Amino acid sequence: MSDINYHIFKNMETCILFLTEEKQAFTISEEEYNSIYAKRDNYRIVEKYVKSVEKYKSNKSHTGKDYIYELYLCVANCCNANCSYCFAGQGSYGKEKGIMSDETAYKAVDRFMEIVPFDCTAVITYFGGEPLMAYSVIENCCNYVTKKYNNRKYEFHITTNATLLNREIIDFFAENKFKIAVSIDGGSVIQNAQRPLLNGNDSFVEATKFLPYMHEKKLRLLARGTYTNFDVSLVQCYDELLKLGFEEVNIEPDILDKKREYDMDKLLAQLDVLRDYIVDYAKTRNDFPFGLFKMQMRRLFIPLKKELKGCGAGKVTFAVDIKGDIFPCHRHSSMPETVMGNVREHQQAMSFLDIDYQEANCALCWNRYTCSHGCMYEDKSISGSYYVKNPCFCKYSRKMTEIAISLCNEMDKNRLIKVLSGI
Amino acid sequence: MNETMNNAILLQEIKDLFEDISYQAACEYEGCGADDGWPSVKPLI
Repeated sequence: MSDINYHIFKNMETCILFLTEEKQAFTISEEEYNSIYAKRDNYRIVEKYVKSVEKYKSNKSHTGKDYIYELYLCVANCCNANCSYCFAGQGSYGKEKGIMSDETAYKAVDRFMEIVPFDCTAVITYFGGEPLMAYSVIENCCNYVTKKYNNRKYEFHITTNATLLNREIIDFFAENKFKIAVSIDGGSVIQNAQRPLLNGNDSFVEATKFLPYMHEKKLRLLARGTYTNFDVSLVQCYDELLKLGFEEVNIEPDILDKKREYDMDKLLAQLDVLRDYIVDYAKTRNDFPFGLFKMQMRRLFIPLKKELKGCGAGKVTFAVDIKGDIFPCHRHSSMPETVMGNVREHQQAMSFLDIDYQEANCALCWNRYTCSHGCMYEDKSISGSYYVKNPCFCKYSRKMTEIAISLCNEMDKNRLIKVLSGI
Repeated sequence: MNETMNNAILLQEIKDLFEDISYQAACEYEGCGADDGWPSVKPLI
């Protein structure tokens, strides 16, 4: 038994022990908690719990197979907003501004479809900058895919600030079963402060004016927010977005800066308050629109796999910029050294780093099998190495795992199955 | 079930559901949770 194979924490009055290799958590007594904490007889107590789950250990070998691939088609290398924290350099990724040609979009799709195995799903995500600045490219590209690849499995997604929508565009999205992620951070005050529009219009009003029509068309709508000022109530951000009727609300903390280590205690405290809000929400509502927490809860139940793989950038995820250059993901497209090719070159198979976080400090972390391992781009841009994790992310991820365990502890079996199923 | 297992939070019955479906169906593809945000999650039931 080693210290890296278990973790104890408290949630309100509940003491919890988590076993890393067993992927199991237990409520334990205050006395046991204090003994483990003080390292008095800790191994004996932990071993007792390890032994209790031995017979449930699976003999199956879980190696995994990728079967969903995603292409980020960055159709607009420009944006009509000026978000202070934008990783994409206000939409241009530090490159020349412009719009993708139809021909480049078609070639990108063709190249992508060559990579995606026939029995796998190809997700085409329109991204920017602000992709609606290139709406005609999106429309033409969808029609191209629909016509040419009608024997394949594919989905269309878009991440947009929603300020350039109109009814015609929404009708087109509904016809093509788009899944839409709206970039919005909260209510009017937060949205206007963090996501100002270049034309000076009210960002919140512009982003939400077509929400009723999108609801009417039964579009799948997710709010994708950024949480940057940890003094602002995170619960308030969630609450304001949920009131707008989004099917899911995912608010990611802005931790793309090592200096944020000094703010992390504030963020963790905000997450504790949010956890209580989610528990109350789940008691009174049948839905569970907290996507990030849902995924973290699923990670607890997914069978143990010893490989500690990354996010899939350059393996199952690719991005193409307006010039047709191929990158491991949209975020990497500001790193010219990571270019993998161009859609106009018919080249051999592309390759990118096959990361295994066993080689990073992750091998020593109790959260290693329940962590998403975060964003490769973030690690590289902060530390210069894919193998040195953003320390802020590690703290955040460990907190999310603790919260996911405590949320599981609050739900009965039937509710938990529904939440984990995404129902 | 032993006494300790009564305190288990991650219900074995649900863990078994994840074992029974194929690994890829259990894991699904999360995509870039940061920017697309639409993981593909298959129902367990």
